[in-house]
Amino acid sequence: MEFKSVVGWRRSIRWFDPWREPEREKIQSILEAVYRAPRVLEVDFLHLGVVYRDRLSHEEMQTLKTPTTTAQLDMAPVYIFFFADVQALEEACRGQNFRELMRVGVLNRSHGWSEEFVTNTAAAYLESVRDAEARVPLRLPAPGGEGSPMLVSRETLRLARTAIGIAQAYALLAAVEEGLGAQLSGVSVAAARGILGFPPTWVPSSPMLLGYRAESREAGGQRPREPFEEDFFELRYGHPFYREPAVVEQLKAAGMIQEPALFPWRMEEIRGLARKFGLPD
Amino acid sequence: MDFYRTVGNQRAEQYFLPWRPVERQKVQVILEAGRLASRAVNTAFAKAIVAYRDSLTAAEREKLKTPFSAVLVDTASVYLFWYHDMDARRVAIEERKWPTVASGALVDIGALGPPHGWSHRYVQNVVLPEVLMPGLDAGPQRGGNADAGLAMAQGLLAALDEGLAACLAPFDEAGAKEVLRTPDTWEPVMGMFLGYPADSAEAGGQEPRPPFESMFFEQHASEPFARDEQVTKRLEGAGLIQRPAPVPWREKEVRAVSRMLGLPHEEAQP
Repeated sequence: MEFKSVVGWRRSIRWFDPWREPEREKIQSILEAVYRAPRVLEVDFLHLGVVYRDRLSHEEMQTLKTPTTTAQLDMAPVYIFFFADVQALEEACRGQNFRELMRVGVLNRSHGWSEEFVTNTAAAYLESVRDAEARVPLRLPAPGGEGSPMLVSRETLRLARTAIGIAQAYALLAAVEEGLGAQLSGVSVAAARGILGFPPTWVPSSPMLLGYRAESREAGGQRPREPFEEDFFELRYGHPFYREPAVVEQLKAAGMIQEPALFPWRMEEIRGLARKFGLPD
Repeated sequence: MDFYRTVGNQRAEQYFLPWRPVERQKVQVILEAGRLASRAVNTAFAKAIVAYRDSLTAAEREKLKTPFSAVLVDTASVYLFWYHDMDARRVAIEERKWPTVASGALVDIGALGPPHGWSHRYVQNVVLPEVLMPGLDAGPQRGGNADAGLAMAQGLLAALDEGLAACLAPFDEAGAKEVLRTPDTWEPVMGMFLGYPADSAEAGGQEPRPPFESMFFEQHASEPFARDEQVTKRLEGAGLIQRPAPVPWREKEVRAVSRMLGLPHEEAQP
């Protein structure tokens, strides 16, 4: 699909055909897209976990649910979890990724890169992030509850969460490209830790629920947004970036900007889907 | 451009044509793409400021630089500074100006409904007090936001789709605050340095990554996701997986482009 069309068709899908598991090839394609995502400061933060709903027990499923993630967890056949390993920053401070990029001609002398720069400047920059004063505990203590939660700098978390967000963007769009529906939705972190067994240095984020859509592709229409000029500025804060109508029209023609919600038949669709799955109407 | 090829074309671009401006329309497309990105509770955590190299003084440009972005600031035509608005959640809950979960807008449009347990009453009685409001009284909190990164990434892909080259690199927060007058409640995500590439489209080849199986697992963190070579073959055909760095002529290209741009370089050995 054309990129702009992929962006336009992305929705937070909450209705899946629970009996239809996405093909493994499609799941791998999503992972491969994330694999090509840019790294934040060349740190290998990311880990993703693919979980198949039908391999979880009923009890495990129930523990994952939160006030905002309910029926869609029962419907989506696959969940993809995103993590950033804060320990990766420690590893990155040794500078090996920078050296590798120098070796393959990505980072060059033209931009000041050298062994001295890696050791004295680039790695030192990463160390300053790692060692920044403001620190917070990672949300969960070590397994078994022993000891205090690990403290990490807010600056480390800033980079880690950015890395997760980049991965989530790539995954969501790849899901659309593969003809699947997807939604990021929060689950119980403690329950996820028990099920997936991820280390205490991994920062979790909302998993992506994945499956074949039960609702229409339009899913009621593109979701509303605040005015463009509230989000984007030019030259300085407070000077809105002028939104040229001709560009908007061009993006409508390209399928990136689509008909906004609420479609006239959306509520009828919801009622029909509720009946299909025996959910409250 | 086809989606997978757009993804596959991404490089941490280092070499821009400094004399070639980026069309304003393309910058808007990038922002439009970022605006359409997925975000929690439909709240605008991502914000961005566009700056043009040639509209800044040399002194202002110096203030923006970090060791990772020094040359990029001097050669990229356009900078998009992406931020996490740490106050967005409070604004969504307390002011309810815009269509967020807190305002009830998503219930109104059928995005969230009774089959999933949602209603306006559910938003007021459960979601607000149990999910959205806890921690709000602590004020804006630094520590990053995945949705801000998500919007930036979608914008990055749009830049590539527009035929531009881009590099994500950190910028000096204090310097940017002085030059761009950003509010205290904004936390930097990354700078996106944009322009037309001075090197070839391959830019030396696709950058290395750790082993696939070290990043992705299945069902439990101890079980790597096995990589099917047939899938990778298909994705090579689709342009997602491309020739890895370094391409054979990269060294010569770097030397020549560095000469062209007046950057330090080593001359070829006889």
